Amino acid sequence: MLEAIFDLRNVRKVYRMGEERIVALEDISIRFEKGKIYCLLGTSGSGKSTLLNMLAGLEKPTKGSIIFMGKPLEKLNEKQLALYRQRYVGFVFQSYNLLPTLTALENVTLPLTFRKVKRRERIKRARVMLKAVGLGNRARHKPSELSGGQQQRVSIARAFINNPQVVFADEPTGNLDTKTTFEMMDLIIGIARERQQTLVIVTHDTEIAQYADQVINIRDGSIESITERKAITSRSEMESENVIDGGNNNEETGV
Amino acid sequence: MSTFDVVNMCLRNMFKRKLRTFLTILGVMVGTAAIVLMISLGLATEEHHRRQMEDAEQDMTMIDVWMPWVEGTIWNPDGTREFPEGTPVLNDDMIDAFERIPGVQLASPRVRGSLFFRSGQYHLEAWDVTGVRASVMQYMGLELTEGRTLMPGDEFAVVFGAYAEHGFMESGTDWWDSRQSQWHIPPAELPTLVDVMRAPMRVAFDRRFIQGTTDEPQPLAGGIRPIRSYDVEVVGLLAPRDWSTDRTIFMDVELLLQLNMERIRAENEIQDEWQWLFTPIRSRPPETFENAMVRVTDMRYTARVAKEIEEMGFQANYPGMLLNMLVEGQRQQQQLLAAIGAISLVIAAIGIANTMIMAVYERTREIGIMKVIGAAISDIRRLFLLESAMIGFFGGLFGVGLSLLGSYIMNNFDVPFLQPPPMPEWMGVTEVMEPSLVTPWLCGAALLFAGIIGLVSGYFPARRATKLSALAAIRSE
Repeated sequence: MLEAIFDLRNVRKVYRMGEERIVALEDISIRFEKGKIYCLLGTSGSGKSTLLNMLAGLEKPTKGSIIFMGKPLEKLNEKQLALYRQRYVGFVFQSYNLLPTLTALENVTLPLTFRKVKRRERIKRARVMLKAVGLGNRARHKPSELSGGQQQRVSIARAFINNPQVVFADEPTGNLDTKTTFEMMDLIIGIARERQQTLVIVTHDTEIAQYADQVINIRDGSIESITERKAITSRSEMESENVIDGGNNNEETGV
Repeated sequence: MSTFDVVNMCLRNMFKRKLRTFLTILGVMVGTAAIVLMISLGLATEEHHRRQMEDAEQDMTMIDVWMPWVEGTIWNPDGTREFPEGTPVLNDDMIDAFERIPGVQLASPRVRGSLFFRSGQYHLEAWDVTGVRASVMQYMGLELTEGRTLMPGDEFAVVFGAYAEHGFMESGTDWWDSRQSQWHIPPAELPTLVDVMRAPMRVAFDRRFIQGTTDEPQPLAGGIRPIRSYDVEVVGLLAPRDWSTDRTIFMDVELLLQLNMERIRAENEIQDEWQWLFTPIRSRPPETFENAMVRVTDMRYTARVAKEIEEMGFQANYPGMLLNMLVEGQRQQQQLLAAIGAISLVIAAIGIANTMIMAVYERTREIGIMKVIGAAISDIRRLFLLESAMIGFFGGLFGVGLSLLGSYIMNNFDVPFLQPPPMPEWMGVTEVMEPSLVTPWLCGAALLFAGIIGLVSGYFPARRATKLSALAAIRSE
C-alpha cells in the first residue's frame, strides 16, 4: 500500500439553504494514495465538487475529518489554509481562471510570487513550464489573446509550477472541444505521471475517467463504487480499447 | 508576495482602468491643491507677521501688565489701596505666579516715580525712574555700555539709560538752554556734562533739592521739613535702544517704594521737622502694584502668555498687540477657507473609497483565484491598501504641483479677492506681502496626508476583499 496523501473519515457536508438542509455528502470515508490519479465521477449535483473543494481546503466538512499527510485540514485557520494551498496544492479550473491583467508568463509565476520566490528564479521555472505545455512562444501574451485551449495550458502550467503534492482539476475540459479535451488530458496526465504527483480529476465524462487509476463514482452524496483499473496515459491508447478492469498498478506506459 | 510584486500588480490594476484611476486621482489632486492653497494663505500671513515682529525695534518679548480699574476701591492716605473681596490684586505673590506660567522668563513689578539728582553744580529732574526687582534686571535683555545691572544687595544703586544723563543741567540756568530741550539734535551727538559712572551723586525725592545751588541739606525756616538726600551710586550705563529705556533710570523697586513712602509720610503725617529728620526709613507696607512687566523666553509665546494673564484678571499689553489682533481676524477668515478646502478633500476621500469598492466588486473573481492558488489574506489586503494609498499619494503629488502653480499665479499676478487687507502705515509696515506661501513642510505634510487619506479610504474595501470566500468569489462571473 502506498503512503496516504488524504484520509477522509466519516466526512459529511450539509448546506443550509434558509430553512432547508441539503445533504451534499453523506458519511464519506476514503483514502487517497500518493502518486495516483483519481477521478471523481458523478452527475452534476452529486457532491463531487463539494468533495474536491473540501480536499482543497476551500470548504470545511460539517462533520468528520480530512487528514492531509497526517494533519487534519478542518482544523487549519484561513492563514494556514492559504499556506497549505500555496505549498501543496495546484489547481486547474474549468474556466481557466487566469488573471486578465497578467501575461501568460506572469500567470504561471503567480503561485511562486505568493511564495516569495525570487523573480529571476520564478521566470526561469515558468519558462520551462510553459515550454512543457507547448506555449514557449506565447509567454508575453495576455489571456485575452489566447484561445481556450491555450489558456487551459497556461492554467495547467500554473498548477504544476509549484511542484505541488496534489493537483486538483475541476472539469478541466468542460469548456473545450473533443480534440482539445484529449490533448489537454494527455498533457495533464503526462506531467502528473512524470512527476509522480497525485491528481484528482472531477468530471462527469466517463471517457476522461479512463485516465484514472481509481474511479470514484459518487451519487447523491455517497460513494457508489470505487473502481480500480489500469489507467490509460493517452488518447491513442483509449482508441485501441485496451482497458482492463481490476488492475492495480500504475506502471508507466510509453506513448 | 514581495513588496515589489505588490507594487507591480497595483500599477497594472491601476493602468487597466486608466480613466477611472485618473478621475479618482484628479479628485484627490483638486482636494489637496485646495487645502494647500488655503493653508498657504495663512502661512503667508503668519510669516509676514513673524517677520514684522522680528524687525520691530521694540522688545517683542515684553508684556506690560496693569491692574485694571476696580469698582469700589478704597484709597488710603498712605498710598495703599483696599479692593473689594475676591479682586485679583497685582502683588508680589501674583507676580511670582506670573513667573510660573510656562514660557515666562521673568516677572517684576514696575513702579515709576520721579526723583531729583545732583552732581556738583549740575542737577537732574528725573521723571522716569523705574523700579524693578534687582534680581531680575540682569535677565531683562538690556545691553550695557559700561558697568553692570542692578544686583540684589545693592544699596542706593541706579542704572542710567543711554541718554538719561542728558537731563542734567547747570543749576540756575534756564531749561530752554538745557540739552533736554534740543529735540532737533540726535541724542548721540549731544555732549556729556556729567560722567555718571564716576561723578559723585546724591538723590532726593524733594524738588527743593535742586532749587538751590548746593546739595547740602538745608533746614528751611517756618517749620517746613528739611530736605533729606542720599548718596547714590550709578552701577551701569545702558546702550542706546529705544524710547522705553533710553531716558529711564532703573532702581530697585524696594528702594523706590521706600522713597515714595517717605514722601507720602512727609506730606501726610510728619509735621515736626526734627522728628522727620531722625525717623529711619522703614520698610514699605504690603503693596498692590499698578504695573508689572513679564518677559517671555521667545516672542512666539508673547500672545499666549498675555492671554493667560488677562484671564487672571489683569490688563496685558504687548508691542505687537494691534498687529496680532489684525492677524487674528485674518486667521479666522483663512480658517473658513481651509475648512472649504478640507471639504473638497473629504469628497476626494469618498471618491477613493468608491473607486476601491468598485474595484473589489469588479475583481471579486480575481481575488478568489488568487486565494485559491495560494495568496495569503495579507497579500490581498496589501494589494488593495497599496492601490488606494497610491491613488492618494499621486493625487497628493499632483495636487502639490497644482498648488505651487496656483501659488505662483497668486504671487505674481493680481488676484484681487485674494489680496490680504493692507496693513496700516502707522504700524511701520512697508514690505509688500505675497499672499501665498507654500513651504516644503506644507508640501510634505500634504503628500503624507493624501497618502493616509488613501489608506483610510481603502481600508474597508480591502477588508471586504479579504473577507470574500474564495469559493464564492471564484464562482462569480
